[in-house]
Amino acid sequence: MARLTGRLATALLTVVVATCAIYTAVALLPGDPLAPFLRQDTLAGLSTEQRSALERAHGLDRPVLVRWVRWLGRAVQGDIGRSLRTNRPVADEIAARFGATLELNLAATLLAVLIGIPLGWWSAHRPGGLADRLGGALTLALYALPYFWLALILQHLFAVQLGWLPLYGRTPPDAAAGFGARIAHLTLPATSLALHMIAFYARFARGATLEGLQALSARLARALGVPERRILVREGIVPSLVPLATLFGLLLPALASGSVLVETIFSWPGLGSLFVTALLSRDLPVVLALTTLTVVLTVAGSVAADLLVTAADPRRRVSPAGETGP
Amino acid sequence: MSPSRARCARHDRRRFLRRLGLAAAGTLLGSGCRPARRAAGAAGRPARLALMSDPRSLDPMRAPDIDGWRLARLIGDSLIDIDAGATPVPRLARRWQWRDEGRTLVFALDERARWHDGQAVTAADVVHTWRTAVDPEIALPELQQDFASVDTVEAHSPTEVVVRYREPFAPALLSWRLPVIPRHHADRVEQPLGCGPWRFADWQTGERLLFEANPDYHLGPPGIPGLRFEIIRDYGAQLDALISGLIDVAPLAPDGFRRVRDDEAFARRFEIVSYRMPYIFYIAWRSDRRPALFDDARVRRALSLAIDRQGFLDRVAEGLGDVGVTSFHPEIWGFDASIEPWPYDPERAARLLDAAGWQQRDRDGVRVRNGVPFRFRLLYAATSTQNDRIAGFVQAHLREVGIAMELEPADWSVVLDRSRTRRFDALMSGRMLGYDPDPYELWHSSQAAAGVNYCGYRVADVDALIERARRIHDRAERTAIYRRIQRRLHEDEPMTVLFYPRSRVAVSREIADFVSGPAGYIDFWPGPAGWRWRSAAESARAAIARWRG
Repeated sequence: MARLTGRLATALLTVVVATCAIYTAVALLPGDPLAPFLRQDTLAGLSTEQRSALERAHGLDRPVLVRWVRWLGRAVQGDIGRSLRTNRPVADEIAARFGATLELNLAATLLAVLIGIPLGWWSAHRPGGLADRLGGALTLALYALPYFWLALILQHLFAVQLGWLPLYGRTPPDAAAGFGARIAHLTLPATSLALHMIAFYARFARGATLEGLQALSARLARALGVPERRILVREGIVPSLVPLATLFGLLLPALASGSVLVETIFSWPGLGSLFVTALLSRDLPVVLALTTLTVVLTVAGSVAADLLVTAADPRRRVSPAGETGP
Repeated sequence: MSPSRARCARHDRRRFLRRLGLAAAGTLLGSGCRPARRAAGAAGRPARLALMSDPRSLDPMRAPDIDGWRLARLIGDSLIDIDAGATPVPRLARRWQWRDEGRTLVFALDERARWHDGQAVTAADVVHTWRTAVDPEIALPELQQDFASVDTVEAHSPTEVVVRYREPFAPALLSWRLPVIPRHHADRVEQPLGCGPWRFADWQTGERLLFEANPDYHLGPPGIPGLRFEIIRDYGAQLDALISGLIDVAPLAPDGFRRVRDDEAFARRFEIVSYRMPYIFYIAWRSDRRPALFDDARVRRALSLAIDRQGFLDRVAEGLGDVGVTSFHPEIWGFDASIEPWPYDPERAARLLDAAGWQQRDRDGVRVRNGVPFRFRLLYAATSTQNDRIAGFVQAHLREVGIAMELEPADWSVVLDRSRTRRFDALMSGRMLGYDPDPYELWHSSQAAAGVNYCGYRVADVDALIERARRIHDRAERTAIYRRIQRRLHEDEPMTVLFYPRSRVAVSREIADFVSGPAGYIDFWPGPAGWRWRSAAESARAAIARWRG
């Protein structure tokens, strides 16, 4: 319990320090801080009084650290500000798009988990065999290729050239279009995102499984004549789940911010495209909220993975005397 | 032929034959030739257009982005508007009249005008709109700037609005293109209520906006049943969507234009429409820079003479636009077409620089005057490779006449900040001009220290002419004054107007009566309200004409 409390306190401190760093970095970017509010020509023609009034109205006349403390104070109470671009509450902006990003990333993760991990196990089953070498080459290629490039290729091939799948967007214009149409819209962005993840999971699962299969216990089992399939499951696959659990900790932040480029390419109305728009227009509250969300999810994922691994692997548990178990 | 073009061509042939058959059937039935907007009525489907991102707001009081402003103006209606040629035309006001030597403007409202909820649009709504626009707590500062010279706005009757100005101010009329907002409906953000030709129907954040035709619009319903704006975040993807038949109208960026301009299959399905908005792309030379580099008009003329602008358009960026003359724009009245742009003439440029005292050269071949080398930095927004290419081109040409220009690309907000605080030597930028030629902001001395007169141009004669033109309502008289100003600007050359850029849009040939002009293809009257779907017979006739010719 004490360990958990300590872990949570560290996590909280990490989040606070990260928001301070992000706030300061974005606020100190060179350029006119009023740029998000007004047209270029209007900005140039503002009188000194109008400029001061606008800076006061948006709290820009105070030092950065004071602004950050005020922001943090309000954020703790659930108010994360208004978008400088649209003047709408940031929470509403995020809520309107969170579902789209979650849908895309969950679909991609599901694809990656269902294909990548079994592929890794299969490759590890006979290391050096034809399947392993083919799988290795394929995953290496997928891993090396930038995923946004893959996305553009897939988009051009399946949407522009063949016209089989929708070119952009999350939903068809026809409100009456059914579930099939939604899936069609999801296919290309999710696949683009998943291909890279498949390669990553497959290589990770292969490595972890292979480690188990080459361990002393596996060799002993083999010498005792235990069937190979059983060895694969008990000595390879099951132990590989522990390092894979740490990987799932990384999934959490990816659910919110792992698809920026793919969302932009496919005009997917999620948090990624919101982030790009906010960043380009110096919309500090939105940038801050999204990066903070990512930090929170990263820290939460890390804590969750830690707890998961501790639960799964008795060796990680700390005894009351402060020593690790056998 | 690439697979996509082949597919496009096959698709086009099938479409053509289908239309030809339909046309023949229509003719046999005696109904094939019914043209005109009302015949098609609002039949068919909504026209589909592309947007790069969600508009910031549909509230005309708080829409700082161009898209938001244009969309707000589709839903709303204003007292006056401009037509495709940028001439003021009535909308909510049936007519307007200047009185009291140009100090009073009287609008007579069209009594047929109705809000989308059925209530009448009254003079009280106009007064409410003005009060909101000048309230700094609600509206954006630019609206307060637009109405700065207004003293009072009064409703003398439900259909008569009287605007009193502190002093005669001729350019004021166009500020009444601001959409009128309803007094009885407070929610301008989630459920905007207008009285224009289009009704707000739906906004799926990040995906699309839908406007429906207003069948009760007092100037007649639009010819198509709606407008759907699809949010597609890249010009290339917008063009792909157009070719794939997902949208009907898409702007063409230079790359996209090069991609499709010689594509016959594309040309059969889409028309490429070119237009010039009142936009100038310029280099502002800071004449008040110290040590002085650009304080002599001969030097500034030499700079313009040294840059081969036409050569750039011919060899590097075909179709980008036309060589600029002064900050007055050929698409806006008052422009003096008899003034020719300074040609590319490096020898003459060199002679002018010599005459201005820049004869000596240092070891690097850079001109020197009184120990000061002719070296400076060009600040510009690094927003596109096009800007880099233009800056590099200018740099190479100035180098040939002994001027060393260092490039200083920066983020656009940095450029904004530094131009506002005058921390630059020369600035390459663009500016959207108004539809009235009044050049007060650009060239009046009062704007030199803080304002848009980035060149620091201070000439008392020009100030007096600008002020005089603002007080005169007669267009011919104002034109005569503006011609004098243009001649003076041409001689002084405080900025080199590199180009009058040209924009392009690809439009499905199924849309008829698509008109463009200085206001683009949306933001004028009737704009999209004048579009209609071509009948099958019309399409067939047009296709036959194209195939023949």
